[in-house]
Amino acid sequence: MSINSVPKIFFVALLASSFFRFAFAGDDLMFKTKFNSAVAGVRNGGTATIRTEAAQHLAELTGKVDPKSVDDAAIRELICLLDSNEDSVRMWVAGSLGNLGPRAKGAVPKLLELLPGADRLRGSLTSAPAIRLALTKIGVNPPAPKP
Amino acid sequence: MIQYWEAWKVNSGSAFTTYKNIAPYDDQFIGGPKGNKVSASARFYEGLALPSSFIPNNRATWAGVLPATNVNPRLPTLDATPPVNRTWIVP
Repeated sequence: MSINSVPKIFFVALLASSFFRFAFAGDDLMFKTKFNSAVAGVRNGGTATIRTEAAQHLAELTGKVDPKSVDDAAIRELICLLDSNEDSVRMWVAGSLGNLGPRAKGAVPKLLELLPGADRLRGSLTSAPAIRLALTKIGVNPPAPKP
Repeated sequence: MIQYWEAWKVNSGSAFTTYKNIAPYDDQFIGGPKGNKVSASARFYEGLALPSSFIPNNRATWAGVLPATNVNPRLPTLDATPPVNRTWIVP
């Protein structure tokens, strides 16, 4: 290897490093764009089906992203969406927060607050098991349902 | 008697419903007072577009968050599996 090759190798490595940083920034931007679009769908969707599907999309997005790359504003947005009066939306949003694990610990008080009401709902599937699983993924032992 | 239809989506290439990573189960039997009988029949429909009559949180059903309808959707069974039937008595 000649001495002249050293700067070239360094240059290539530097370029690669810049490229990967650019690629990661692009992923973040893509996530934020899709995330904001899904949040808008949950807030403004014209039917329960559209709002629920948008919330499901949030769960799909958060299931694929590195939780460390999700900013506090996005987590606050998800916590606000737990105020939805539709249990299907709350279920998917709880799942989204669970996907972020301990990064979503700010959601714990709200999830614990919602749980007794969710436990009183009857249905083949309600938000209650999703809230419990989310709390577990975040790192909190959820209370057992009251008999 | 309450009769309704509820649905779960299975993404292409998956062996599970979309609820798999969100909740530890995606269905349970519920059914009024002790001794009540609940009958269920399930089919997998390949490539089905769910009719808009299926809505989540449908209070006319006991499906909870699952998209459901209490009006017979008369789904075509040409691309569906044979039904799997279950009966449950409320303990």
